[in-house]
Amino acid sequence: MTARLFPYTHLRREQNCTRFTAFILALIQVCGWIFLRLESPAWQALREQHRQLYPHLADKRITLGDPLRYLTQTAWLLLVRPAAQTLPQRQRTRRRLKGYLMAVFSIVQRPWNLLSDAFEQLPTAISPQVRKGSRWWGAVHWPMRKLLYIAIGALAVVLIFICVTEPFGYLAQLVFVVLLWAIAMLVRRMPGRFPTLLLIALSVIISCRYLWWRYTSTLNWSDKLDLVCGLILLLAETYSWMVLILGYVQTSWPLNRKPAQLPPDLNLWPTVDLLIPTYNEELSVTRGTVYAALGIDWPKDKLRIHLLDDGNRASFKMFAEEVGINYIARTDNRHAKAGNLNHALTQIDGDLVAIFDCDHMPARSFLQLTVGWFLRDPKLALVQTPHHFLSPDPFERNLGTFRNRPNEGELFYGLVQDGNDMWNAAFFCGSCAIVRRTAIDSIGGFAVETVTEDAHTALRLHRNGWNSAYLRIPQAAGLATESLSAHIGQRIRWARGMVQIFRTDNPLLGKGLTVFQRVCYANAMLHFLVGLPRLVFLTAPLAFLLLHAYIIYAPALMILLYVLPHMIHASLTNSRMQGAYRQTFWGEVYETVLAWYIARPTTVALFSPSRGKFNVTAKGGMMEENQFDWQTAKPYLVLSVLNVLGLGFAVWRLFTGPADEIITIIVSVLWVIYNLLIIGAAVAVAAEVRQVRHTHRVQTRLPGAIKLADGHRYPCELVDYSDGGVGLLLNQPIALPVGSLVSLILQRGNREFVFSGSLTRSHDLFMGLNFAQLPAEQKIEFVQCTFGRADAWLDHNSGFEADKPVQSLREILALGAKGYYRLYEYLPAWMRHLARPLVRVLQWLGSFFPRMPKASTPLISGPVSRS
Amino acid sequence: MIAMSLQGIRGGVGTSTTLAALSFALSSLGQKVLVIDMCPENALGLHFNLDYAPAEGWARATLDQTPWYEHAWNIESGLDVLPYGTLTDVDVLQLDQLLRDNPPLWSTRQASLAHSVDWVLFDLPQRLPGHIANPRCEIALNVLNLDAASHVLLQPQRNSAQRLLVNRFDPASQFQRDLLLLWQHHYAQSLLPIHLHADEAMAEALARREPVGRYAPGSLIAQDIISLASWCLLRGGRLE
Repeated sequence: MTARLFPYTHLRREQNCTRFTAFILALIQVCGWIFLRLESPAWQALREQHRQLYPHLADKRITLGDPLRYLTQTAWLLLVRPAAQTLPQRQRTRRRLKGYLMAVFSIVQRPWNLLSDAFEQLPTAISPQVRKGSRWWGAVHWPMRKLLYIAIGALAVVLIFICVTEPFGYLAQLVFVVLLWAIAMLVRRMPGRFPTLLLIALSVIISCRYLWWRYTSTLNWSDKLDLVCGLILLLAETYSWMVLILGYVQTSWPLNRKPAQLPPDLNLWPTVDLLIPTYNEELSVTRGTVYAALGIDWPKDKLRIHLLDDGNRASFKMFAEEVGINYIARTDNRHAKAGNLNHALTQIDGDLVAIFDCDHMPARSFLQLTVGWFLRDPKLALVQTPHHFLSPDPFERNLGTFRNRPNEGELFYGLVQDGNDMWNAAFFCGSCAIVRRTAIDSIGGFAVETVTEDAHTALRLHRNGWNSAYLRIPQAAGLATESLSAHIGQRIRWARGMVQIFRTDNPLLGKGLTVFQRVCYANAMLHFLVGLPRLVFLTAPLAFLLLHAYIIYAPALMILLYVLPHMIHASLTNSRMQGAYRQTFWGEVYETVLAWYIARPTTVALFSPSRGKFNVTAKGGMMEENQFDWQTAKPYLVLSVLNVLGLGFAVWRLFTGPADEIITIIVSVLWVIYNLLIIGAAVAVAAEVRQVRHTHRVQTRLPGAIKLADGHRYPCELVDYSDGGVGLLLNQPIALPVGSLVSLILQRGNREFVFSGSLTRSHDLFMGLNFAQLPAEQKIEFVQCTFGRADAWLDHNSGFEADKPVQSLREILALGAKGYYRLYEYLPAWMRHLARPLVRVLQWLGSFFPRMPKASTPLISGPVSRS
Repeated sequence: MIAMSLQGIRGGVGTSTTLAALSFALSSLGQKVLVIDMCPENALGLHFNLDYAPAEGWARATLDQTPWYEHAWNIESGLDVLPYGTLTDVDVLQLDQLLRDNPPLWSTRQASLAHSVDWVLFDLPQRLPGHIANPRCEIALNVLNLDAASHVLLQPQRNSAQRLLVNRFDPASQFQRDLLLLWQHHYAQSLLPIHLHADEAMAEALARREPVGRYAPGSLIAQDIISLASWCLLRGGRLE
């Protein structure tokens, strides 16, 4: 009995507590027994649920902090306890309380919902009036209509000018931004293009107003340091503003071009030369592309495949002869890929030239979908299709977002190119494209002056009056870069090349382009200058915290009233326009990772465009084990250390600085924390996740069948494939020893093919086959049945979740925190040793946080009867 | 009620086995099916675990002018089999003559069945024009194998109302694939979109005297047959 009331000895012996701890805890327990009826059924019931309600304390060694942990957890439980476990009385009280809250909330919520629902229905509701109105408008005579256009335009310009330039006090600005925000929130859910344009207009007004305010009233001209830091930030913001506005123009009206029909008469179909340029890539990577190219549906006498080997390798020559394609090599390799292509042009004479990088496997329908447009438009020079990747890029692999979030390229190939196409400015991306021979000849071959020959060639074509088209149907798939450093290397090349073009053949100047083509090209190039501005944003709050420079010379509250609406509107608008192709805030992470690395080459290229060399992107490799790319992560680590330093300074300033700076400090601290988390997300990318397989497996769901050596056949489902094997799911388990011969039957259209392989793995319904020994002809057929299927890549975005800006922000911030934790895991032992006390302290503080109670599991689970 | 007939382009292409499997698949899809053996070999019952060549059957009954429907066997709920019955060669010829002289014989019998079954499947013989022509069938399938013999037999002016059903297709054979491609090109209108694969399970099913859908429901051929049955349902729904 004594032990129960005053468990001092128990705590000393069983839990190994110190004398002091044991004494205090025992004292608390005895107080509990004295003042509470712990023997009552209610308390006993609570004790029985101890494990579920206090999951983090159940198996823990008892320490002095535990009473506090119990207290916080209990308080938490009172708020969130899951309904199933609550005592009925308390549940009722809580429900009532919740009801009151909801009632208060619904006073606002209900009219808002009504209003936004009404807005959602608006397009259908007023469509007859709109149709009538547009008919009336069509009937108005031209001079009259012109006059009206001018009048409306002038009115709009005046109104916008007032909205942008009118200085407001706190209240007026607050009312203004809340009104605009409310309109945006209402319009956001309406379907159609008009609401998008309205959102763009709102965002442009708010952003222009912000920038105007920044230029006119936030620079401190009397202090040199303030002015320099302020101007640097302002320039960076001006850049972002420009890219935002240009981006709106570029993507406001994606064209969504459909394939054009080919004539039924095969004689009218043009001859196509399919070029596969390679330089130093492995033959194993190139093989798949050649097999897929051989499987393209096109009259055999009108499709010629050429392997352009700049590496002059005997193995490639042999392979080309073996499969019966043309092999073209040259003695030098001047001008890299562009030179390689130009050299090939001298040896071929087809009407069209299709170009595939050696790791992009074309689908069999590629030509049938793209060539139609060449016949329809005689001035068409180029049809580009998306670059689709069947393997995860470093971001997707290291962050685990493959096939459930749009990747980095999705925005460009999903939206930007489609938007460009509207303005006849879709440009060549080097692969997965087809060009007209006469067009290429008319500009003297592929451009060789820059390291991004593709965009430059397209620019020249447009300058010479040729058209381009973009078909947003993935008709090829390739391998993504396998490491972060390779990925960054590739982007550095693109950035350098685009800036080179910007300098040497500026799309804003020169003849032959429409205004919109100039805008699209300029934005594509400006986009790569993001490095320096991004670095400025990542360090801007430090100017105040470290150097005490007033970079935005205005009251903190006013800054919030201007900058928050600017950011919110930009996010809302972009979420609507790009949500399916890039989720909100992910762009920040992509840019942050690249910022440091493209800052220098782009700046160098901006001033001296002729410098810089071509580097080939390494692909098809394999990450042997989990590792942290310290080399690549170094700049982010420096940035994060700087920001942490800023936090230290903030604490110091908070205690020693003048009282009127407190809000400024808090705003700066929030900014620093945001920056830290974004940098943390970049750090998370640098923690490279190991690749398990040598060949990339593509997930799929295809019907198939297997044939066993004894003649039995069973239907199955193809669940994944690679160039060396497949994974199958059977309807019933079939026990076979590993190594037995199993053939796979696959369908392509109304034809069937059999591939004999050997069993590598068999587990329950799953079966893995290996096709190491297929003859060349069968390999072509296999690629045609898998990678080359016309619909192979069409559903790649089916797993994407819808974009929700707030949730997206939360995810990114969580990712940032995770980045630091990964960093800690990869630290060298001595540093981890040093960091351990800090981590311990954090863990200890974390242990006081309440947890979600575990769901109670019934003790006896009855057998589930099978019907 | 839909009447349907299966006839091999020559002997030994697997017509009866296919018919048995198809009838089982149809009945497993909830259809009431009556299978009628029109072949004097009188062996269809074997697929349903009946005795080989039972003495009684519709042919015998027709000649004896006794009720023909009394000799049907109920295999399971919704699946009945009517054997041919044992006849001498002379009787067969006599019956064939009778069927030729009386063309609406089976049509009237089919009409009397209209409310009690959903499908009547006829297993037609190679020759005997009376046996072949007498039943009026909405769907007529001609069963072939992908071999030169079938190809040759296809050449003469064929009855275009008959649809072609490929049986024992082995995609591993280059010749079969090529021939199938040729047929798909030449007989695009009449070739069924479903091909039945060669499968050891089909041969074993007869040895076990069971339709393949019951013997090896997980096999590829059982799935092919289900596809064929679904095609029939679709086709029948369209005809009705």
